[in-house]
Amino acid sequence: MIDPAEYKGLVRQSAVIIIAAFLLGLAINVFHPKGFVLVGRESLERKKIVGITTDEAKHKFDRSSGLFIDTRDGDDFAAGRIRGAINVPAHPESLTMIKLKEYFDTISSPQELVLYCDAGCDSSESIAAKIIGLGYSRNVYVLKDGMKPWVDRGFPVDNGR
Amino acid sequence: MDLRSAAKSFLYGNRTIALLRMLLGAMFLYSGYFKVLDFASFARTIDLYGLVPGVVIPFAALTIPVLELILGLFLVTGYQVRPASFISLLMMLVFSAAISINLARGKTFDCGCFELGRFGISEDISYRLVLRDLAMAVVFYLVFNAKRHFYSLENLIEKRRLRHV
Repeated sequence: MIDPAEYKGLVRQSAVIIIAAFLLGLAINVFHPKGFVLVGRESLERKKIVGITTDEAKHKFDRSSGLFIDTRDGDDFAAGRIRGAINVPAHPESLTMIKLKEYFDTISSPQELVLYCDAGCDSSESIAAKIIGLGYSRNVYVLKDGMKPWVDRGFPVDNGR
Repeated sequence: MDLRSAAKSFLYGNRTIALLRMLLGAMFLYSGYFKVLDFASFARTIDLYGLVPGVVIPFAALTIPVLELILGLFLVTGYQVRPASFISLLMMLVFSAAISINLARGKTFDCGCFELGRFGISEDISYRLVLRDLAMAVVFYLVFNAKRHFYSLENLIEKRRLRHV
């Protein structure tokens, strides 16, 4: 059948083949037109809503790469908002869906979505989840500390309806 | 040639064994090629089995198709036949076990084995597939155990070596 010395050699040769296949697989993936993300399914889903700091949001603002979505109600939005932001209030839910439909083309644009509300509120996360539920496949960013630090640091704001 | 010596020659490694080796190797090349074209959908197939942790799936999805290509190449050309048939044998046993477990769970889905769906042959998991994989495992064992491999690079290299002795 197979003697122990030969068995050792066989296992070593097999291991070399498997490791070579793994490394070659990684190398092919780098140049593959359908490049494959090397993280598990769960972490992909979890990472879809990503919290960012005021500085990171400002960086997106300066590069004009972010579309800011204010998730507070209409009055707060009118009183002061991040410049260029659109308003998708979290309440009432029917209005949220109407606004999401209204802004669907804007939201689907290549810009990165940055959602914010007041510090400690959860409406940004709930609307981010709704946007992902509509089939949005990229990461959605949420301003962790809310609107206040943005205003305190004198970053650009707008007001009025 | 009587039956006994025919069986002996078969087990020692005759042309039939060589043909089976090349046939299975070609099958690996075929299935590996189509899996390499789309790693992501093969990853989804692995996920369907519900046996591998999420973080491992992408790495398995990158390794198995390339491994199939390497094994296919080795089996067709007859180089590194023993380790290649040994890994293939293990793979068939693992696939059989994975399909059996999911049959026991009452699941039905495309096994993602040899891409035979392209020829209209269903590869939905079934006991027929388990038997097919086990039959292949037996053939790989016979190839693994054979002492001589016709139409192989190993044979060619050995012949050349002996010519110089």
